[in-house]
Amino acid sequence: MNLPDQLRLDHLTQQTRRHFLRDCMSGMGALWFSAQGSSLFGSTDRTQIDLSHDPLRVRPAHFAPRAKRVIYLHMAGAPSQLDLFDYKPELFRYDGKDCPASFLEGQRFAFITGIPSLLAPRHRFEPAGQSGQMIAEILPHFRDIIDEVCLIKSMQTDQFNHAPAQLLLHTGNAIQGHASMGAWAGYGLGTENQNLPGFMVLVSGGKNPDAGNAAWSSGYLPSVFQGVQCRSEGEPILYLQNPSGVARHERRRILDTIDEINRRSYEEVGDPETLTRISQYEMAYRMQIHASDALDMAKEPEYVHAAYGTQPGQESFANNCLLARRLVERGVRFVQLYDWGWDHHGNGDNTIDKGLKSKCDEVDRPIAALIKDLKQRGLLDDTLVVWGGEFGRTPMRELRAGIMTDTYGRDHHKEAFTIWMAGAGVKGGTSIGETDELGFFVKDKPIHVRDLQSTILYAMGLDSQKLVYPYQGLDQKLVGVGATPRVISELFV
Amino acid sequence: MAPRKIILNTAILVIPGLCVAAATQFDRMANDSLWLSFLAGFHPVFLHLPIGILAAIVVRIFLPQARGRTGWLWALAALTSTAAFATGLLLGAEGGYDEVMLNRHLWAAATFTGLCWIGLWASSSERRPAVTNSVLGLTLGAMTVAGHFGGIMVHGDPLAAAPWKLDPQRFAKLPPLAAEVNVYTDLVTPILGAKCVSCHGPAKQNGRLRLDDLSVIQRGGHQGPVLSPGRVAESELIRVIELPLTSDDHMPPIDHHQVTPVELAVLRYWIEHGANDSVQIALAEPPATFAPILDPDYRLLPDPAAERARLADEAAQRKQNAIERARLSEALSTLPTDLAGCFYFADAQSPSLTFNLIGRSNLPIETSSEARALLTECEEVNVAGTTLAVEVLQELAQSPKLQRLNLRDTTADHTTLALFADTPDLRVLNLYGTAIERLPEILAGQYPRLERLFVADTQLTSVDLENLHQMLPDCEIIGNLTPTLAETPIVGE
Repeated sequence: MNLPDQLRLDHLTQQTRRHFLRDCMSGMGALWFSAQGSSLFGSTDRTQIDLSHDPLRVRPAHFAPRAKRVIYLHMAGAPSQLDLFDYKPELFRYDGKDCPASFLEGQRFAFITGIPSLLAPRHRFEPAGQSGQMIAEILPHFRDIIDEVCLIKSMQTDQFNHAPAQLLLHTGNAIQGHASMGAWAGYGLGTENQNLPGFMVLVSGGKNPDAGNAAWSSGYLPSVFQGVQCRSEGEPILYLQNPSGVARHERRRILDTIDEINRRSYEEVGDPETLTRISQYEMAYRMQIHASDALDMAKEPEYVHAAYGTQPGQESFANNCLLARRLVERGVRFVQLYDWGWDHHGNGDNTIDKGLKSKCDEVDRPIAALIKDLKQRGLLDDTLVVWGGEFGRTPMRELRAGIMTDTYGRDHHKEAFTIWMAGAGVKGGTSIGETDELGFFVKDKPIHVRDLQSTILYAMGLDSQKLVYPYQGLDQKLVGVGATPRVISELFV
Repeated sequence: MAPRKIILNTAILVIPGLCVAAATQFDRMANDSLWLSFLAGFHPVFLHLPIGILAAIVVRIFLPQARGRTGWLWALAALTSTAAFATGLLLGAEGGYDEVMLNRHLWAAATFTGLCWIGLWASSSERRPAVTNSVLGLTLGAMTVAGHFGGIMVHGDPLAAAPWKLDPQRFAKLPPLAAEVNVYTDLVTPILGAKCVSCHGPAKQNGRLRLDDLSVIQRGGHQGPVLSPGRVAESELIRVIELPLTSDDHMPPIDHHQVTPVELAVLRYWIEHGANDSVQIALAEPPATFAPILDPDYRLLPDPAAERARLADEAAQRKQNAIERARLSEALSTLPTDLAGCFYFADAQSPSLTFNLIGRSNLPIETSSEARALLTECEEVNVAGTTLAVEVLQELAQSPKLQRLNLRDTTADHTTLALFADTPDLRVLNLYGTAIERLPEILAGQYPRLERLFVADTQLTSVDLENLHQMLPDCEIIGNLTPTLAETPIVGE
């Protein structure tokens, strides 16, 4: 039996009840319905995206986009909103007192057990910018860009452990195997620069986020859309160079032959992964020149390095910010940064006083430089910058195993946290949402991470309800099937 | 007198007498007898029987072909009306009806039942037709009155739902406001009237909810109360309005006139302050969130004629766009693939074109006259990092469509800047990192629409920047946002 016959047989053996039920819809009635289609039931226009020609080519958005590109700065471990952005002076009054039982009812925490005591902000807050919003003084450079930024203080999530919360935030599901936001953006829009991947990932802080590379996976989408992780030391992308003794034109001839074989295989079998493979070979070939250029920070003038505070040759968040700017400048659709080390439980040096401050020292200058740099280059007009963690931290002090020490930490908190966004028409110098006087629950305008996903897609001109990929008999969506997230439209001018 | 007549006359006297005697006792019995309340349920069955029977009597008297004896029909009418009266008494005693209406219905029904018996007497004692006919007329009249009150009591007044009374346009504008505005009567009632009452009011009570009067609003609907006075976040009324449009529970439904943010602010304020009819605000000092609604020109619903005109305009615009888009797509299809790949439509429908050379330097745009023609059709042109020949730029400068031009990191100089001085619709001009070293003298009074000008990292001095600010007072000039990033380049490297 030849391969196509074999595949057809395999296909038949894999028919399920769902296929049967779906196929039962045949006949004249189904023909009529499909002819009437959208006009009968209201337009759904969930257009199947045709990937067969070139999966990375630019596809028009559903509606005019505000953001052509996204830079997502993820502080893995979840920074404390109560010591940075969400100023709660009432906590000073209750500092050291037991948390009221009404708050704890039905709550579960990652580490806190029993009745914890409340913890006042550990850093001083001062009004910043023209808007006069209260910002912790451990973010001195952030004050310069506060009027470009909208703080969202009413974020909520479902998960209180790092990996599931990161997955929920980036892939819409706490379980592995779903496609991440950057992959969805690439699937929906393609990418402007055919010489670079549309979704690139830069990691700092000493290790990958807890969710690992599942957080930038393409899930069920064709793998051409998955995030390409750049190494922060040495060669940014491994195996990009030709083997010694192989010249560029020889490489071209090899690829031409491989492409020919692959294309024939696709015509026979029709597996989209074959196309992925073809375009990945081609992109790797182009990246040999262009990625090396894009990731070569040495080409930046000295004053730019000084502004970001880069540390060439080392792994650093500052380097990644500068690289992110170089990448969006070259049309990379989605640049995802992860900086590990924001999980300040209060154990050892990992405290709100010391740990949080030293992390802020690392990211504050580069973030401010990034925003200003994007602004000057005109990139901030159509680049959305998102900053945040996967959840927040408790207004209560964490006592590991009930043992009182003289270090201060906070536990994971899913009920309320703060993120911020800038660029792409985001109303600068504003804030959205409000928590209660202890910063425990959201009091006004709760915004779930699904609302955030929907808003980021909206900024890119995509409707989260229309951006679907058929998989396992279901139209999969970033925001989850059946969810109806809200677009935070008041975020934009 | 024949024995049959004696029995009849006795019956005519005794049965009503027994009924009246039973009626005097029956308040007491009705309350605690399962049997009586069971019988009460048959009121709707019995009450329709005399109607048919009287109709038959009319036919028998006035239709020559059907003429005949009516005594037995009168007997049936008397018995069934008595049964209807008796069950009606039982039903009324169960309570839950409007007292006034119930009383009117009762007396009308008693009259009607009595007249039925008199009719039986008149027809059986063979009185003159004038007598029986006038008894018949009175009976029909009593039946109409009884039916009218009963119907209104149970089903409501159908005239209340008359279209001429319920046109939502009567709430299109707010009533004239006094110095003291009653939030419920002056604001909330018109808002609910314009946006909600057509489905939750006298005509329809979807979800058994009415929003046309404070008492019924407070009662809530099928799923419970819709207001939580003082607690906006828990009020169902607010929750469903704030749900995303895509949600099935969102109100008003997606194809109806939506509650605007200003109107929502009024509803929130009203609920926050107790959700009753004594919430007052001063017209002179309204809460900032909903000040716009107090403008005498504010419309809750658009003017129907204006709305029709707007829809027609939109349809015409869509058609125009589709034609324009088809024309541009046609022109694009004649270009070679890699050149065509530089032109993008802004979204799935728009005819707005963008030209972007990211990742595609060295394309022979100059030599293709078709491509050059299309370039002048673009609203946005981005040649950052590459360059365009001067003659192409000259053509571009005359383009009536060009809105955003990105010449970042190109060889553009002050002559380029001068070139675009009278481009009619140019709004954003990016000259970051270009070779501009002095300002063209012709600047003043030009650049009719320019909103943003990017000139950082050029050879311009801070004096030049100052001059630019004066020449283009309405334009945001982004040149020296930060000392660290911009100082060096602005004074010249």
